[in-house]
Amino acid sequence: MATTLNESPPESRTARTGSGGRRRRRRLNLLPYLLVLPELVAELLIHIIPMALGVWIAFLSLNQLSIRHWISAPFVGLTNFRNGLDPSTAIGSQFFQTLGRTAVYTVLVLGLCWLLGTAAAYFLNSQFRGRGLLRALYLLPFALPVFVSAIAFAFMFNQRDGIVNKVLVDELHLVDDRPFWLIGSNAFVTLVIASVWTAWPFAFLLQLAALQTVPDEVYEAAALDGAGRWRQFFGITLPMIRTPNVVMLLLMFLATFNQFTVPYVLFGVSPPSEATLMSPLIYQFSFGNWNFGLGGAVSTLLLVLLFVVSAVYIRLVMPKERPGHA
Amino acid sequence: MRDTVSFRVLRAAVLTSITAMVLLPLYVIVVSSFKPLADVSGPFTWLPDRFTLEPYVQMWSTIPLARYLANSVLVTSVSTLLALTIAVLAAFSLSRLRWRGQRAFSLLVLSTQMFPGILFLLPLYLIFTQIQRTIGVQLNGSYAGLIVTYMTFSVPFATWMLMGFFAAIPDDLEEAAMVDGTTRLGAFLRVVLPVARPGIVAVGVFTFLNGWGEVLFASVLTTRETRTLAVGLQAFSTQTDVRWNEMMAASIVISLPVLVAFLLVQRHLVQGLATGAVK
Amino acid sequence: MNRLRKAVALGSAALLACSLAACSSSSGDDGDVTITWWATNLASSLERDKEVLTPVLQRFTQETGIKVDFEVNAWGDYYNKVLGAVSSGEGPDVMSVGTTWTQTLADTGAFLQLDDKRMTAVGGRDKFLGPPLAAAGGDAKGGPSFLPMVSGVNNLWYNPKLFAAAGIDAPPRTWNEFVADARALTKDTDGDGTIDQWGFGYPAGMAVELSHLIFAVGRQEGGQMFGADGKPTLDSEGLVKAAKLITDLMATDKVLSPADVESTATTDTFQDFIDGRVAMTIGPSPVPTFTDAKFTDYAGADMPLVEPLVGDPIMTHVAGVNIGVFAETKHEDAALKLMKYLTDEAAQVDFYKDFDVLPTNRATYDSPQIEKTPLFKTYADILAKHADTFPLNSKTGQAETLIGDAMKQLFAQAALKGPLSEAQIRDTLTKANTQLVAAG
Repeated sequence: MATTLNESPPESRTARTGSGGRRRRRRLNLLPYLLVLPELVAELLIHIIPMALGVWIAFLSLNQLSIRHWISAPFVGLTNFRNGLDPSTAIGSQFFQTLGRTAVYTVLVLGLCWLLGTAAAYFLNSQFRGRGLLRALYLLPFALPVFVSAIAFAFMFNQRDGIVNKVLVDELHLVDDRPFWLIGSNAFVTLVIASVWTAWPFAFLLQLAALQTVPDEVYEAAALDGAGRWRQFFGITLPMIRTPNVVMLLLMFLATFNQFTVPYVLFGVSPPSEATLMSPLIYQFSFGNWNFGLGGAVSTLLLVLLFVVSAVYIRLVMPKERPGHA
Repeated sequence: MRDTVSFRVLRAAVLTSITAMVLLPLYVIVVSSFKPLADVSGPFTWLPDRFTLEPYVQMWSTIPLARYLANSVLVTSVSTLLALTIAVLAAFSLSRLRWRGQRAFSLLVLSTQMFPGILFLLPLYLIFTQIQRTIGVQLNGSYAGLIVTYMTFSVPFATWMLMGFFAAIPDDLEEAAMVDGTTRLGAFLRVVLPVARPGIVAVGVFTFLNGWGEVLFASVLTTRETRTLAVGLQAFSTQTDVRWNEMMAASIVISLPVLVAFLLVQRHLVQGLATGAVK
Repeated sequence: MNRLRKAVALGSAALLACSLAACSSSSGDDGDVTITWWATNLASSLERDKEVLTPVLQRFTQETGIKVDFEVNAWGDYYNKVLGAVSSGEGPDVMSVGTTWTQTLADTGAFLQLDDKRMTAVGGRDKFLGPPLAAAGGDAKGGPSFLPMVSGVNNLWYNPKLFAAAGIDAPPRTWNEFVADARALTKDTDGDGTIDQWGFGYPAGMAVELSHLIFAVGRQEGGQMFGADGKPTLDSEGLVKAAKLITDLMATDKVLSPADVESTATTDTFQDFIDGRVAMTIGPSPVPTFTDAKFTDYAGADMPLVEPLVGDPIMTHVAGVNIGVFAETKHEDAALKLMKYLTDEAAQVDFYKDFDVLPTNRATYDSPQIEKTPLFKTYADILAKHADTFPLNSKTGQAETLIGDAMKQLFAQAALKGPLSEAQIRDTLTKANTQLVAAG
């Protein structure tokens, strides 16, 4: 039933048979290209060329002295890459630590978002009074700019005045000393919580839509066969929403890995070292230290890394041929 | 489906916890918007010690909120519509048709998500400037520039998500329609799109909200006249004060129309194949 | 669709083929001219800035016939905007910038250097007060790239009521007196076991302010951020000692609340001051904030000096806003006229009255239009005798960020783990120094 991505769909019957088949096939060949043309043009201008520029900058020594005439900035080959990747220097070790930290952060946030989103979507898919209201409520964090939500979290986790410590220390007496949440190793926890809160509605929204693609008849048939709710969920629902889920996980993985706004608003331009992610680090290199070459080099490395990860992922979960396609 | 008691209990437990988690920061925002500035900066209180509507009044004059709101609505709506159109067409081509270079193209589109967004800022500004100099089209500081930027930033995500949704819809639907002689594209538009509506709506909502809250590009690509809300909100943080309460009040007020739009649109999220589209 | 494609092709080709600097600027202009100015936020809201600047600029238009299209920017993302203008060559005619970005921006070459001819056009060097002009790059070869528009200093602020209640009759003059006074003012006022009044309050989470504080205390301890050869020395002995003194306020002297590591803006500390939670603070003028909140229990004094004074009696860096003419401007004469006007007495008096900032025009200090309050006298005295420019090095902007971040980290460690050793401090500053050396 469900097709896989990029798999060759069967040739349309009308193209193969009947008169004018040849003419039809030629016209059909232009159509796909025409359909992607607007996207191609937009991508080239706004994404591809800037990215190419960004990668090229990695090979230049670009700082405040050369930025005005950036086209003629000195070419320094792999120097920026060497500076960024040498684990014995302050910069290099910072790069690797941040890379590892960002990976852990991404897995945690992604996992929690997916769990919450799927659970909420699943339960809200069943009939009960007030589900429309809840659906709207869960989407409400969306309507708020991420920037404001992050500020709310900064308020909540403030050591002296925040609600979290007020509840933990003053009201529930679970801890004696007021812990710090925005500095030190706790900062990472706060970052994860704030990120999950702002991002899980995406997963929720997409899962809601994905669940709609499973027709009721399928569940009814399974119920007749005696399958309980859990069997239905794991045996039918999950496999049937696999394709949108697999894509969603990949896209959310990339977006979370490159997350900038939440840590930037929570911690400002100088985040605690225990909670620094890749994007803020690159921002520090490029815009904070005017070392655009280094920022570009780190970004290029990131690009290569993520590309490899994505390619492997796609190959594993979105294979080209899948047996059994009708 | 029968809802057993255990199921209902579990559902209640899960949904209650999630609701509480969602509500807490929202509550902090709402209650802060009704406190005078001195109280907001102090220890948190569950209820305002001094309740005031002042922030809701003052915020309109601290920044030109109404203009920013109009700008945001314009830029975000247009860019969302354009992005959706482009993405739907492209996703159709990539997931339902077969052509040379389609995998390469889809990977190219995906790769744009692997580059940190902040590094697009400067090159984009440079490109816009160059365009302005060569063909005279003003993109920096104009609505067009921001619309094109937002649209393009949403398109890769929208395309891939839609590819995922389209792929989950069986081919049989189109084939059934094409038996009557319609083209593949026609079948797609008439039969598949309606079925994929929840997915399209979801992606549209996501795209809209991305643009709604975007700060970095808007801060560089807008001027006084074209400034959007997200950037405008930052202006509550000034040289002498940070007007948290007004900022919170403004956030709520600007979120309300979005919420209303949601409520109108959300029924489309739950339209399934129950209408018997399966053969 | 086709037209767009062609446009893109053209644009990309042009981008790859031609040099950005090919755009030339003509300096002649005449008649009905409109110039653009990117101003920065100085008042309590952008709208208020606009209210103040509009009549000031209208007068300019009446006098010269030149119209000014100005835009007030919030500080938040303004830096990115400036960066965009500098790298693309597309920007306003006149730009306001912060003092600590001045050298870095001057080095980009994107701003017109004020040689003798241009200096005369803006009123001549002698028009300006020494320290602010120096801070704007006044001693640069070929002339400064910026002019000081408004100035400011950091100093000590204290609550006279709390002082009186603790039996202290004068603000501290030395660092030791300062710590002793702060200790006397740190108490548990309501008997619940926790300290609710701290002798000293400070935004210990704000890297920018921290960099300014350590600059001043560092100079008193004989420490410089750059050596005579211009190479970074963020871990020099003087700076290490200064960092220890400052962080000890929280870690050992316990007069600064650990919670202040989460204060990331001066306004946080000002609010604490208003609420009576802190008795003293060091920093820029809180007067506009206090006036807005109708708070009057405050007084200003000189910042306490380290004793024994190893280095120079520097109490503050020279803060303020500088203005420069964008090199790509097509209206050089008009832009210079605006620069002259904004730094002439009339506008300077307006700025002082409405923004509570210090004039950079020498004559204004003697103007009858300025009320010589005790505070004003304190400011003027500090600016003339105890202020120095933040080091004018190409890497100044980065230095500010790096040393500020280092201090922020040190304070975080102090809050979490207690007193810091000199070795720890030196280690952190050395790391920052390495980054500065490697910076652009």
